Amino acid sequence: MMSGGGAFSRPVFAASLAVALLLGLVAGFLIGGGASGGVRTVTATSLLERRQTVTEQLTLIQTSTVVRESTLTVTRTETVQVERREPEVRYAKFFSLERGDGYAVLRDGLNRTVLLVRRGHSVPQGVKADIVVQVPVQRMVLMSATHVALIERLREYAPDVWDRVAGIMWGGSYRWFFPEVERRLSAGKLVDVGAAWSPDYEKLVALKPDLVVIYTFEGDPVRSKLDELKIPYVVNSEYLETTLLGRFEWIKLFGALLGLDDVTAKVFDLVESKYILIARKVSASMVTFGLRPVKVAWFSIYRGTIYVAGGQSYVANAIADLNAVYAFPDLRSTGGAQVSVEDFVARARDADVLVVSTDLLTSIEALTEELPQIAEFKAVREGRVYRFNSNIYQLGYMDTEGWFLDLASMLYPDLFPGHELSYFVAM
Amino acid sequence: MRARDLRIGYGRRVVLEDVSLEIEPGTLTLVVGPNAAGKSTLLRSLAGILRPLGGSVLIDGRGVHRMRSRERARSIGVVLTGRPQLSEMTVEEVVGMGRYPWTGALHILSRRDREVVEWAMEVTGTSHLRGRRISELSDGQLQRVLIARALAQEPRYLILDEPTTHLDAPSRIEVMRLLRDLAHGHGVAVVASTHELELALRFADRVVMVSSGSVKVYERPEEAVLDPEFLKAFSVGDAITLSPVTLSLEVMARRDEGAPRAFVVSGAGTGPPVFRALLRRGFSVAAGVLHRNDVDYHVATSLGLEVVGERPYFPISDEALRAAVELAVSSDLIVFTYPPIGPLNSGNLRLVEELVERGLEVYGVGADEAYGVPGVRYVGSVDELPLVRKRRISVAARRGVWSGTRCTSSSRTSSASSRDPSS
Amino acid sequence: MRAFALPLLLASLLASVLASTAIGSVRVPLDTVVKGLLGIRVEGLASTVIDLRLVRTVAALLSGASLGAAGAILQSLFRNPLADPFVLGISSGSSLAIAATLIAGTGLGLISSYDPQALYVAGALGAFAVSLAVVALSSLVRSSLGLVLVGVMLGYLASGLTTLLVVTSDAERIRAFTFWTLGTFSASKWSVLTPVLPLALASLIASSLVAKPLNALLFGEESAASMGVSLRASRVGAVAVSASLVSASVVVSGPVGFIGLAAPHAVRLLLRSEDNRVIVPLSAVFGANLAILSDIAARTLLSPIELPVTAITSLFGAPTIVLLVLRRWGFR
Repeated sequence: MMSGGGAFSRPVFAASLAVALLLGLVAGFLIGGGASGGVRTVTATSLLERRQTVTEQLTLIQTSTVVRESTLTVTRTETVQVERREPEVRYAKFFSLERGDGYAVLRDGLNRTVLLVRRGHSVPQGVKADIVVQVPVQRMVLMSATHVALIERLREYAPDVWDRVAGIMWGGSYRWFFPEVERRLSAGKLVDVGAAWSPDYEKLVALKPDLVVIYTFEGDPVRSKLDELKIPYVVNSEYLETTLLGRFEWIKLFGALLGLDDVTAKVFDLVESKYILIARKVSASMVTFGLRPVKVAWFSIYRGTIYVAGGQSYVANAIADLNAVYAFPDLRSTGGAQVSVEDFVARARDADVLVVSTDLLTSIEALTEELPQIAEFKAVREGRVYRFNSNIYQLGYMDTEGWFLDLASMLYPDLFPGHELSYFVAM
Repeated sequence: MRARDLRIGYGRRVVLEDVSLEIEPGTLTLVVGPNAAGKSTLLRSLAGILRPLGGSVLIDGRGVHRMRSRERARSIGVVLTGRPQLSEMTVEEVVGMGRYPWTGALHILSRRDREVVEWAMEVTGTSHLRGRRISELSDGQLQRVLIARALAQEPRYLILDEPTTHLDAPSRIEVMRLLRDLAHGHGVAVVASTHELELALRFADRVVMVSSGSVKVYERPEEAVLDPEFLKAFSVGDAITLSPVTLSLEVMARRDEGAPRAFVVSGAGTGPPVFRALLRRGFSVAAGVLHRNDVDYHVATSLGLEVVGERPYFPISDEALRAAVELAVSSDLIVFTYPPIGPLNSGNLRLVEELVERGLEVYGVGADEAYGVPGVRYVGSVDELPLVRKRRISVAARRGVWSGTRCTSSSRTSSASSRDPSS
Repeated sequence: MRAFALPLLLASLLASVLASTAIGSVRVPLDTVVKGLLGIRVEGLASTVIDLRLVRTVAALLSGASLGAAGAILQSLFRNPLADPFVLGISSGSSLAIAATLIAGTGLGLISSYDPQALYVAGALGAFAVSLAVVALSSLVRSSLGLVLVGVMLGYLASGLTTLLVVTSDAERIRAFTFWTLGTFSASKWSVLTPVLPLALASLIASSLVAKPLNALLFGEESAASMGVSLRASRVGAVAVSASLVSASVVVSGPVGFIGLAAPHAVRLLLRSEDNRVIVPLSAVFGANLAILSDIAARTLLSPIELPVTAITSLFGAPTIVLLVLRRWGFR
């Protein structure tokens, strides 16, 4: 029946809209409760001790005038002793590596247990794992330029390491700073399987990879597809690490996968000691020469919005390791965060050093255009403003100790005279 | 169909109250009324589209608004105004849509359905259009197709909202004829609203007038014409008359005090063109002597002219003659239209003689000089009448409009005082 | 023309399916493809590749058919040639509901990856909510262009809310939702398709049942009511069916634009008809065809980079809209 005008009145529809949206959410939760799929989590607490909790339920039937059934629960704990080793991974928090005889247990970025078995060795009994990978891997596919950077670092010691990598997910979306990679790509020795967010699965499958190194997130369609295609993968979450060494330590993951464990151990130790040396030099010098701690702001601007490194990010931690003061130590973020212009100006105007975390702003003028107040900043007046060099994402990661040295020399130029910046550029 | 104590409107706004009427099968009921009076509202309520605020509409004792859509559609067919957005559909498909309340979920037409569709197209005279697309039809054809569509529902009641608006004159009559045929020939009870008062009065079996919040039913159209309320509902002031005899509308002449007056002697149909021509040229007109059964009398009274009349079928009496002479003498212009003369109106010739004897100028107007009358100067058309010419010129001069006619230097205003045509 | 339309479209669809399984970055000979499609065993790599392409093809078919049918229904329901699930913001509303469910669900640990049926229900509710809003507003907005503007606004609203959700969650999830804002068939998986397929099929069947009242609605609402249409039921039914169809499409491929717009128009042009009983199902077939061809283009034009499929569909979608607007309100 029609009454004059529409069949729904305004408050009714607004209410129904809201209700429907809410219902959608609720229904989603409720129905999704019985979700299938996802990653099975097995926690191997450590190989040192494995406690298995076995729960048995025994049913007793009592015979008497009345037949009764009761259930008795018995719990027993078995402790199995296994070989002791020192933890291999010291700084990185998102993966761990433990060695056995002819095998290693890797916990990857998604907390999956990856059993790495050396070729020719048998799969050890009694070790629960989500996936078993034969190492060294022969046909690896990489997802990110950061993975490539670590491989390039290894090439110094293992010149044929690229023979073990069959493809990368590049899709032409950025420029390479590794001539070897470019060469191999054009020679067809390294196959481009398309962009990381939407790879060409046909090409990938045709490569017959034995392992794909990926980074991932909740609801990642690429990971689901790899599951469906039954292509083995290992999750690299190096970007989640909050310390510089922790990020670089993921080279041990590649070492384990490529059978280059000794090499990577040595490389890492080298980088670690250099890091420590630089940090100690700075702290010692500060005591000796009575230097005031330097204040640093690390930020980028885009269209008037300011992003700064988080107070718990690896940047902030690196700065802290150099006895410098980061402008936003209280920002509870391990990555970056957006701050208001006001806050930024208040905190950064007296910073001794400014680091602009992008290579898109190439001059002080461009910076001032984005943020006019910056002209009054101490660092600008004293000419201590730096920006990213385009190679920082690839080469700066490969050469982590060099990155740290660059940082130290930006903060304390007098302590590192004659040092030329590789990954940063003075503005 | 019976409507009882209906109170209808939209939301809080009540448009019509206390409406009770009965629609008998096989009748054509036409609903008339001024704009926005509530005709559409009434029709929609009867059709079951608009829910009444009070009262009920019943068919065989069952409330129309209680019925389910499908059931109601089998009893009542509705045609509303407006061109539907169906440009690509063929006529046959559109009429076929009328079987909606009879077909299943996929609207597949059975043999019976197709027969009904054929019948509907035949009755409305649209069979030959069956393959044409709606966009190719004229307004008149489209209207008939839409009526066919409603007919295909095999309704007992057919309700149409302004089916003749936007149609040209011949199409309007066609549609009305169709509606009457449906009512009388096929037993459908037809209710339609229309603005065409004259058509309504001619075709309807009953007339329903909707105005000022209420509804009045006239069981015979003639009753409506005689009801002053009816006339009031349509008149603009008192400027329009409706003749109960001819059922035609007439616009009454404006009474302009300063206008010159013409006195016309006519009869048997020769008068009306002259009356109208003179009125158009700004004259006020009086006529005589006209028999009351003469059509000239009828038109003159409809036009609101001053008329000297005579009883039907009686020869013109001396009193009438005297009155006519008085009227003529006080006029600025006297016109004779050469009516056919017979024993009963030969008095008009004597009237003319009398006027000529008194020295007044009598002009004869007509397609040709039908017969000679001593003293009457034949001028042919109304435009040749001297005062008419002069009036046109001086009116033009007063308005300062260059009319192409010679502008005389006469500063005399066109007053009725001068009777000398040559001045 | 009318008699040939259905067999023509079906043959074309078959050809598209074949082409879609035969074309790709890895060369697979045609006879192997045909064998694979017929279920004959095919060796290793070819089998995987064919399966990869087949899953995308089926996804495109499902999504395209659903969108085509939904578009036909919406255009009839709103008596507006510019109506389309994407343009009216219904796809965005669906995405929003799915995104919210995914984000909030995973945040609360209730859903660990996508559960297609849960998301389908969420998507259907989202689509339904926006459709309701459009229907309610359509009774207030008389002009048909105004209706499209309303839809665009609702679309923006939904996208805005989605952005809000994204921004307030951590950086990682942002990548997940770019998937939801750009339709694509690349991530199609059997595990998502198989549960959604019967739902989509049921909705497609239901869509042909809505055709009868939609035809009557062409006469205008009051006239339709007088013909026996129960307005409320048919409106709700049409909205529900189209919402269900849109949701099926969005769950499988994210919001894909313009197929719902172009398919019904193409069918109307081909058939010169307005009979929904014919237009709705044929729009489904045409839409499926269009989707498959667009998918082929999306993955082969710049291989190995894959373009979002909406970029391809907009190539024919946007000009269609311009042409329609000009024809109706502009120059002849």
